[in-house]
Amino acid sequence: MSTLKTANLQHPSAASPAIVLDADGNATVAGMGLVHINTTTITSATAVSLDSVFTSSYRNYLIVYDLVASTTANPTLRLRLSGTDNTASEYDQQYILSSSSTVVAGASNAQTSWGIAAVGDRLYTTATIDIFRPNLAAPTLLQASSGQSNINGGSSGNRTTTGSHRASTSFDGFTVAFSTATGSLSVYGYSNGA
Amino acid sequence: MGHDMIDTILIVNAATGETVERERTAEEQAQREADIAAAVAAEEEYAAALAAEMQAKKDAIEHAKSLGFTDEMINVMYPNLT
Repeated sequence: MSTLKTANLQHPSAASPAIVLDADGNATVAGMGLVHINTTTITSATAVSLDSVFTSSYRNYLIVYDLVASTTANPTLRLRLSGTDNTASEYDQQYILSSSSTVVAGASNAQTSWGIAAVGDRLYTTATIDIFRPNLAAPTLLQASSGQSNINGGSSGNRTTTGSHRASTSFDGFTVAFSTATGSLSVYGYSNGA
Repeated sequence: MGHDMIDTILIVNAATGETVERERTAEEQAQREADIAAAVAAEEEYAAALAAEMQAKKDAIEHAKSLGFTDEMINVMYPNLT
């Protein structure tokens, strides 16, 4: 089998490449709805800060992570600008927690971060987090769904969070903080196909 | 919270690929411990709500039994109670 080695695939009449390959072999396909921006492997840290992920290229973003924690992970998310977390009491959230047959709804406003975790002391934590317009000079919005599972026969839990950040600030990154864990965190941009 | 171990932060610049893992500053560590305290408080609030609901169910079952209902009857009438 032969291998064609190139960095760009472009139709002769097109203004820009349809497919761009980076040095790691990852492909960015123009017009695709979800464009990969970064994947970070977590081995020992208790927080991951990603800078320069929110740009004018995309309006909305998807964050996906899976963690295996040594204890309760309690992940929280903060927005970030120029390498500094925004720790002001400007994070509002409405959430629903469930575990077993119990469902609890709540709201906590003027917080210093968004809570992403589900409930209890679970080993496995996953989340899909949509971040809306973080790079615009407008309040940033969040919609997150998190699950926590315990393979030892204990009950699992999940949490759905709707959040907003009060400041009309253009952010370029975020920090997810948790207890000691290993896993993977990826960020994607929602492309309009432009 | 009195954590002896200083946690580390992994900082990744998606534009340049630069990756740095460093210890938290004292300010960052204090913020993290405040976050953990808040998370623990939320967990305790949730646990209290759960315990209250379980107690309410237990009370309802005991009251139904005091009126002469059996477990089978209670389960038929209120399948989510037991």
